[in-house]
Amino acid sequence: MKAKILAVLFAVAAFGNTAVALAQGDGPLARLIEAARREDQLDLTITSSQGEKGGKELTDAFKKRFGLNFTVNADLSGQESQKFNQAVAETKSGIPPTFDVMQGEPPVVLDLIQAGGIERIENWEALLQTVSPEAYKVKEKASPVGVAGYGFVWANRVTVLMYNPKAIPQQELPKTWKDLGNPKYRGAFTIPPWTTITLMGLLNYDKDEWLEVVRSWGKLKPQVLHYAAAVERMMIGDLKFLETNTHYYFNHKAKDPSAPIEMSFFSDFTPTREVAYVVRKGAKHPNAAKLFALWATTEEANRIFEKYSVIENLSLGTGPVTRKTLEKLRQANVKPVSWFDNQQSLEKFLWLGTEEGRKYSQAIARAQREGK
Amino acid sequence: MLRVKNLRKSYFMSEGAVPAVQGISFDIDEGVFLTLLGPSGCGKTTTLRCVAGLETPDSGEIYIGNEPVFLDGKGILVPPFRRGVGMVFQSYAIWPHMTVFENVAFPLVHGGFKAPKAQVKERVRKALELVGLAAQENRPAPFLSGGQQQRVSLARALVYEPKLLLLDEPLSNLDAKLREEMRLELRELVKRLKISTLYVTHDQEEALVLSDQIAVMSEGHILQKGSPREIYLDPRHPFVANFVGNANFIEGFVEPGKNGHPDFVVGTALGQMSCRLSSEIAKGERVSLVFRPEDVVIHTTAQSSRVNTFPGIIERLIFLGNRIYCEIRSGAFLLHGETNARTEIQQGANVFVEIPADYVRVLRAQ
Amino acid sequence: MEKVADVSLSSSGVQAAKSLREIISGNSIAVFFAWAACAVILLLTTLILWMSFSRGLPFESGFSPDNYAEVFGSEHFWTVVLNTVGVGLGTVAISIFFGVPLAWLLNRTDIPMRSLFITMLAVTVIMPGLVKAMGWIMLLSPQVGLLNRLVMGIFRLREAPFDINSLWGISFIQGLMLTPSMFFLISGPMRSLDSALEEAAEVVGANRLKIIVWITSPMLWPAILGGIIYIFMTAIAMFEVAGLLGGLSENRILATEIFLAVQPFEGSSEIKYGVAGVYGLLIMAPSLFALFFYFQSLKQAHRYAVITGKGYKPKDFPLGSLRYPAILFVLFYLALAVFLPFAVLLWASLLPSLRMPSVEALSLVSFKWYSEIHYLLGGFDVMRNTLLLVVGSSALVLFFSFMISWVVVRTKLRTRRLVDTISMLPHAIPGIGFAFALLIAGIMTAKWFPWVPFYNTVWIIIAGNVLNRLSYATRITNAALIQVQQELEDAALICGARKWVSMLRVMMPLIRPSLVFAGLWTALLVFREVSMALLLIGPKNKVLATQLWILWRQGDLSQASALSIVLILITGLLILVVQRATGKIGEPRSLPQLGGGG
Repeated sequence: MKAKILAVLFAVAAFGNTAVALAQGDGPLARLIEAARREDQLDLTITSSQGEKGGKELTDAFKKRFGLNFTVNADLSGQESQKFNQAVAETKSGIPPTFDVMQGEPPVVLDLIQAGGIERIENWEALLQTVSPEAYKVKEKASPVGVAGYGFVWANRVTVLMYNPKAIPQQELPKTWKDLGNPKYRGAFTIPPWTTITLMGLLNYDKDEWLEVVRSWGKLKPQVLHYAAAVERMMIGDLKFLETNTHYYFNHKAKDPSAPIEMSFFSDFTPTREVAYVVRKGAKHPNAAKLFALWATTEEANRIFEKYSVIENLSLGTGPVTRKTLEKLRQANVKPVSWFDNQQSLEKFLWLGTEEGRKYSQAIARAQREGK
Repeated sequence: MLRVKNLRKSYFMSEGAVPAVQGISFDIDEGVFLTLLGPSGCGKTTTLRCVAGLETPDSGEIYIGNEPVFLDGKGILVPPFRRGVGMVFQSYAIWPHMTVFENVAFPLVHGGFKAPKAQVKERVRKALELVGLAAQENRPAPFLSGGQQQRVSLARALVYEPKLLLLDEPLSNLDAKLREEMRLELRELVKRLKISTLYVTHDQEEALVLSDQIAVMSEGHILQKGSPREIYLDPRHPFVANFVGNANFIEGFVEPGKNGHPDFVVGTALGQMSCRLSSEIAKGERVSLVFRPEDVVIHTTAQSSRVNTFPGIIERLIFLGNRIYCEIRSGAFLLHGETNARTEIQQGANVFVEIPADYVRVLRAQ
Repeated sequence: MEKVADVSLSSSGVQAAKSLREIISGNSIAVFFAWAACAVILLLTTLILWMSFSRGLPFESGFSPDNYAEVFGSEHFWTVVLNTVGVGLGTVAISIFFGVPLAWLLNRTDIPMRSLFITMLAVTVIMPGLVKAMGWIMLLSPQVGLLNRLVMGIFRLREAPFDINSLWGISFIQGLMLTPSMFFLISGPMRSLDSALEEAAEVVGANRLKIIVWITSPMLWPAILGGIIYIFMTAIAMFEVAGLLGGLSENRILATEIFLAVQPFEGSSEIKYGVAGVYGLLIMAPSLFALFFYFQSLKQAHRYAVITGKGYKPKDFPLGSLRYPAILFVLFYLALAVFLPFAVLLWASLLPSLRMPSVEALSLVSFKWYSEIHYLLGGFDVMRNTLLLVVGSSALVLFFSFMISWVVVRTKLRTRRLVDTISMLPHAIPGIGFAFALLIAGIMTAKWFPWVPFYNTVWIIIAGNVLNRLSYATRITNAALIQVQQELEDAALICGARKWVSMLRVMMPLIRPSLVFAGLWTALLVFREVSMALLLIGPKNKVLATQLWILWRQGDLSQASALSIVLILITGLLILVVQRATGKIGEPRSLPQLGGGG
């Protein structure tokens, strides 16, 4: 009880009038907070890179913000796609969802929406405006086309070129994704076992041209490794460079500024993927879940995410990590692209779900792994 | 005390059913010591285990006291832990993770013969005293010698005063000297306690020393049951004769007597032999004559006047200390005999063997 | 003498009527639990089979052969199969090369420091395979491998002589990793070999080598064959090493194909459960084939039944002047499989991020990550869950394997062969297959019996682990119960003890060393198990193994290494404590004389 009062007091002190207004008002947000308080629990997933410590800081800040004091069960095991798949299975079999609020990329979010597993926040714009005015300003990015009202973006994953400066100087790196197929890079790089990023080439290239580009990589028979393993091997010099998320760069640099890892950008396109929170349909604690999904878009949440997950929120564009990435992007004069930038890009993504698109995906997978 | 009727038991292998016990029946009266004697594989241990309840017979009846413990027709099968018998195993089956005391106390503490705590101590001590191990009660069981383990095993079987004691070759793992000692001790003990006992062994000497009655078994059948004296002196079956002690066997046909002998004689490879024939054996029948080596009299000089005396040559002599064992060839027949250790006799010597007619058993040839 | 006949006679089933009587006569507890375990195994196996025939989730789509068409139609199908068999055989060869001599040296000779060596072998099990692979990359990578550079320098070679990114490399590392399994599988039989038989050979004048080759080895053949089959089955289902060494590109094997199938490509939640199921069945097929041979070898095992008997004294083979080469051999293995990965772990744990050893790197060494250990451990809930997982799984594994072995070894039921076969089935199924089946089963449970606390609890992970470890544990309990003379149990029954009393008071204490060992081994592997746990964890059933894995996966290799070191030290200590408390597991003398006689 004492802790509760203290927390409220602290919240009041920290957020001044807003918090008081939030706690006392009679608007939709106040009702949401009150309902969340009664639910007294929240089960959620948090990106694995946040770590236990960062996860706790995040949920503590969330509780503090709304003067809540309840149990939060956070799952930080990653496996996003697997968790969404499981959620689809749960929805189809009609059992209550494991998590109240989950995070994942819009493509899996779309799958779950289709299965009927995600609760749309009906008055999301009004709520967002009060909970996260900063995100409301960029609301078409905070809840992008295709998943608007369902998914709330808390971060972006930016895929870049990572290299070991001791193994290869920057000027010798491939400049574009197309360059990657140059035979001189045989044995120098790895590709991941998935094609998510590769397929995003469609945002910049024609289908057939892109397939040829990907084949040229596959012909070099690169090692296929998961990002984390690939980065380790690059840092000991076993590999020279690879595509991966900026997270690994920031993470290693934060631990060791002299770590032999640098990043560079492909000038033809830089794939980015949104990561969004969604509220599960039939969630046991739906109001707390909604509150969290909205709050995750705030600068406050972003600060904590950037501190631990070292991950950008490009739509807010304010955190230190984000600013660094944006700065580098500006220097390299490349524009980040995503499937969920606009209606046009979204349609390209949706095409992948058609029979034709599936065949194309398979062709890309084969081209990437085997060069055929 | 124990009644076994028409007991049958087979094992099933990939080749099909293998009969182990083929319809045997016997009784043990109150306080009687009965031994099942036979070579390995004759079904004696299977019989004992059926009585104990460790094997389930295919058919037959078993009564302990007056209680049926197995009746195939009525579906009665009393599990071993309710039969209340005591049993000593060939390997002693002393539990190596317990002390002597714990081993003996087990039936009273964890078994079906629960006794109040205070009594347990007293009764275990008494049982251990009975077998002369009272001083060893706190020793871990594996640190005992074989003989001591055997005693522990016995104490464990006696501590709950069972109505029937089952002993499964309990002495076979002891060395010869110890075996003889334990044999006598066991007889003393069983006699003193007047406990009905079923004993299984392949050792004929053991059987003769210990038993009130012996049942000789072969291939799942009881061939003969009787006192040790009957079994030894009056075997009714060549197998019994041969298995209990040594025996000479000679086959022949019953012929009418000659030369003033009123009785029938038997024509054999040795020549004509007179012997006492029981009335059921008729003239012309094929018979086996059985006589023991120690009944054969060996003469170094001709004894023409005597009956059943045949010339022979000593083929082999084995000095056994208390006697000499001889193999004597007479015509085509090789005869086993024994003579006093002090007899002066050499290999290759010509001798005359006499087989006293009274000691020859005539059995119908099988 | 008839006793021997009894045992072998009873080895192949009895009439039905008899079975019923046996059940009534007191084995019903064992039969009940053994069949309960078997029923669950069969149920989940059926679910996997079902999965292989449906395109989506088993309960939402009908039967279709598409998955099979996809797998068998793949142009790489035969490459994958051949690679897999190659890796399996290679792993077996390496683990025999090290495991068999180690088992003999540490069990039957007078080599010093046995207890310590054996503890080390046990501890290696919890070292993550990932680290071992990483260590070998640092040594044998064609680009930066220290050993490669050394050899190239000495012989002035232009090309690196070794390439760890090959089927050879995978087999080599897997072989090193599975050597302890081989070691522990054959240690039991090795210890209980009657040395009188060796002595007999010595008396006839055979020299030592000949004794080993002609007397010891043939007698151990069934155990070694069992080990080979076990290792082969484990090797072809292992992902962690191959996944790092080209298994996802040119060195593709069944396990990596499964990984690709169940690893939803990022950005899509579509998981090819069905295709994974087909690959799982492909792993099962040779395993079942191998099982057939395993049981064949067991059938003949009575020929080798030299176990126990009176006058059995384990006697240590005097090594004499061979002592030093023997110690060197043990150290050689330990260097490759224990010291090296441990050194890599230690090195990584002291650095901000992984580097090749250099003067510069040395200046970065710090204990920073160790000071953050409490965060890495993940808090009280994680510890409690882990404890429940490890203790619960081990206890249940012991209980069920005891019950199964009881039915298999100590009854004459006609169905016992079947029980034995079913209990080996989980070993043929990759853990991840069980995890998927359990996930489906968990969802179905939550749907139909919402009041059963299973889905998203520690118990679902426990269930997976119990199934996964049951085969290994039943091998141990089978072997242990076979060694206990029938008469020791009979004696308890005669004393008026009911069947369960004799199990509890006589049989369990008699095979205690085996039970302790099986429990400890299970605990270690459960503690380390991550692939199933990852699929089955939710918000409230997190365990340490997944925490560790997440650290690896997100690139925090150094923190993960620090955590690993701490866990290894704690586990090592625990093993030593358990050894002290229960009579040394490592010492051959701790084996009780299971015959009742002296």
